[in-house]
Amino acid sequence: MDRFVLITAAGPDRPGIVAGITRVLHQTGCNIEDSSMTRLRGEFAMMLIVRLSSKPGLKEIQRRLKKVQRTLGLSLLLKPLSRAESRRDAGKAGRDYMLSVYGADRPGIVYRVTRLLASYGVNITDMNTRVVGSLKAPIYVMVLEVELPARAKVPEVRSGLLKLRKKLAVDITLHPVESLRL
Amino acid sequence: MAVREILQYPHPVLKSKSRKVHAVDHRIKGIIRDVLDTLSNSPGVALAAPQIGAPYRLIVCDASKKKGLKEPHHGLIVLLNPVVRLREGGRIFREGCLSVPDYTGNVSRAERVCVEGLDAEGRVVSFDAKGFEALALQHEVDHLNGILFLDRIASLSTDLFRRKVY
Repeated sequence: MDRFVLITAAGPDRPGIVAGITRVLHQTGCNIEDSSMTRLRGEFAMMLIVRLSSKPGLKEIQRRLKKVQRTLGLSLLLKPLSRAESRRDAGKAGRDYMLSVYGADRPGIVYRVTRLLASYGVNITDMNTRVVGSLKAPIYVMVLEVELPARAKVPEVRSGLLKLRKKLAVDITLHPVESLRL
Repeated sequence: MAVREILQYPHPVLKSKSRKVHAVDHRIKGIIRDVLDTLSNSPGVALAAPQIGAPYRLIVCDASKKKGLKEPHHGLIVLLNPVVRLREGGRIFREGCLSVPDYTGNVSRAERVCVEGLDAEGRVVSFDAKGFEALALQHEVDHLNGILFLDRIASLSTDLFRRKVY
């Protein structure tokens, strides 16, 4: 039966990190399924869902990863996933929306927006924040891809966001994700 | 005639609707001149009057400023009261904006547009634009309605694969 693990790792960015980790995985017969990796300022962070082969076994994989981890200066966690957790269609499908929030940088933007979304049962599936602009006048840009559950009414979510707009002095746009099948 | 400062977000004029131009008078001619001078002096390809603080429905676009552009285009376009009459096709483009520093995003735009308006002499003109030029025109018309590309981000740069299973 297939076994899956989630590997999360992060450390100072430099060439060779992905090659270092994936060499171990390749040599131990593992298959990298879904992954997400990105650089944030000087750090590189990775999340990989990996299917294990029967040999050489989890303990050996962990031993080899520990060596690489030390060489590369990464923090690394390996977590076995249950069959349900590793399913491709994990997570109920809702309606996909894009949410942009941006304005002069100030405390509380992320917390208040995400708290509001949680109150409607809205699930964040991808999120990105950036501070741009000058040091004197920094701008905060937050972009989220969210899933609206069946029970969330779009006009209600919009009016909640509108109230927040005024409170936080930000601009907010919510629009459905369009797909183009070419 | 002057190179003016390109306003940066969060300047409120960037989130406001611009006013229709009723007559191409001396003042409007001066604004057209300033927008053209400011665009020439910038790395950009197109500019809207509100970006220099003039809240009028006026845009300029010069696709020839884009290095290595092989698609057909109209060169320098000056449009007053532009309206996008027709939109066809859809594409994701990676956009930035002179008024939003250090940020680019994936924006969904029409691949072909027909834009109608008045030229600098007040005559009705229309342009059928494709690809990059169409993108620039849509981006500038948005400025006249207080819309920034940040409001039209179609997907996060890290998410190339849709979560839904088709």
